[in-house]
Amino acid sequence: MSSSGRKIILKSSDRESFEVDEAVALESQTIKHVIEDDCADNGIPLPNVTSKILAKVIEYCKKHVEAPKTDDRTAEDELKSWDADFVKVDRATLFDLILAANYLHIKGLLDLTCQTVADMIKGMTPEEIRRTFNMRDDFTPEEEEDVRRENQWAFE
Amino acid sequence: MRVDWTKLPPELLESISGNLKIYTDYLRFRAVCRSWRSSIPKIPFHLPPQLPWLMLPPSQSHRAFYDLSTNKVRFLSLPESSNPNKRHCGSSHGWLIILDESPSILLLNPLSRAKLHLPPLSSFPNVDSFNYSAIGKEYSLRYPSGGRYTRNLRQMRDSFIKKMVLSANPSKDLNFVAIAILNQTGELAYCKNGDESWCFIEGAQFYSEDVIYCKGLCYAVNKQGEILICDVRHDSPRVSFIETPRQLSGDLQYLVNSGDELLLVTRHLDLEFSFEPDQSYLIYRTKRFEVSRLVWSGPHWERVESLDDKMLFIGENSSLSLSASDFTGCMGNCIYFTDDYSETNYEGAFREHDIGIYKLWDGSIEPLPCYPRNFFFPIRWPTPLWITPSPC
Repeated sequence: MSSSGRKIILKSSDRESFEVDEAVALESQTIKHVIEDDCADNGIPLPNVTSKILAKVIEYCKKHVEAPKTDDRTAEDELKSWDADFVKVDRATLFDLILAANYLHIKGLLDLTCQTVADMIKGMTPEEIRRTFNMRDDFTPEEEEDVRRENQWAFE
Repeated sequence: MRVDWTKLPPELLESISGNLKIYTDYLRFRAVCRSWRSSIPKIPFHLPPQLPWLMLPPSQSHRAFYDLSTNKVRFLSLPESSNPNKRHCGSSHGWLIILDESPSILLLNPLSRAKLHLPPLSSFPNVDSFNYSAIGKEYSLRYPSGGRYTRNLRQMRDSFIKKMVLSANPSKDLNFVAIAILNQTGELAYCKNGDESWCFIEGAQFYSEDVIYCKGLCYAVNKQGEILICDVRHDSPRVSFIETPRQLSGDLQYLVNSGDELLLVTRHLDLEFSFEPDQSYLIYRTKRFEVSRLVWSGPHWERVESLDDKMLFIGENSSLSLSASDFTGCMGNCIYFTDDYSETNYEGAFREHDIGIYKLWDGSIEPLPCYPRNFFFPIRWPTPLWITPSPC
């Protein structure tokens, strides 16, 4: 059994070490399993997460662990506002955050980042979405025809 | 370092698309690239009720649908609904309920083109017999008092049913129930999916102003604003009543389920005379609406001065309440209405559709953008109808 106040070391893919409170680390289900399996003593390597992203993730977990668990509406709104600012990052960082949240199994962060992407693409045409996210239109001509035919009315 | 959004894992793409609440956004998501397209199903099942389209009169085999969000008219090929001998007696959960000059009752989803039949008109308990060869008297019916009368194919199509409502989307719930309000006798009838005939709901006569389904129960209202609650989930329907103080004003009553509240919407009509050079005619025109909410302790109706963000869609469709902030192109605290007392307005060669947007804050009525006032149809077309586009 671990006592509260214990520190956990997290190691990013570019070999930087981050020391965090255990409670903060436990926000990640992935890390939680490692700790429970007693494999955390020499630090936990996270080969899929760069230091830049890990720093952000830790920032998120810290804030949410420290947030008071009350039904207080103002506290709730404040946290939401903090979350909204937290995701005001460039698209590449957002992309990495989604993948990190998924890999580390941090539900709150995953929900937040997915919602953010959804909010960005609302009201956009497929072409606008591609331009925003620097994506190629990789449909074959047949597939393109399929797409058009399927939803003719949505693209008029 | 460039990131490649096409490489997002399918489960993440599913999560992102799960946050899209508007059907067009979902469709466009699937049109971005191959991986995005293949990661989410063609038919979304998670969408909340969409902003209704206004179904306009047909043109050949196509139906035009006016979309408030984009201020555009969309065309869908809908031969089953485009023939002038069809009449719609309801629109519920994205499905149209279509009658024609035959006993059959067709349910049709204009987007998915899915179809279902309900038990035919000839299977109502008060229909003694149906015979195609009895020209002009194909249906033989019986009044509650026992007296007999006949009706022809058109009369049955146009006057027998006032409105039909479904309890759920047939694609999502195979145990759905259909409720019908009968015009002349004010009775309520129901059938479950798979039944061979309709049954009357005992004790429900005259609760025939409007009917809605809410949380598995059927709510019906009479002219005085009294409510009947019916549970048809068992072998025989169980009926109970909410006796509110009598509302004595207004011409038409509608029930709407809005959030957690039951609303009564009272529609006031005025008779207008219009003089044309060669003929004068009378039409009914909506002057105003009043909205009340049911207060269960009492019980009584309490006047509602503002709907805040909510907007109501009423007419021949199943009454609907939505939040304006979930969509674009629409306003909260408004009632989007079409006419559904069509028969009364069918007199004369010219008629106007009584449709528009009633604003609760100042009592004014704004015409719908696709229907400027004084928009005449020289022949008798079916009245426009709200329908929520539903992909499944």
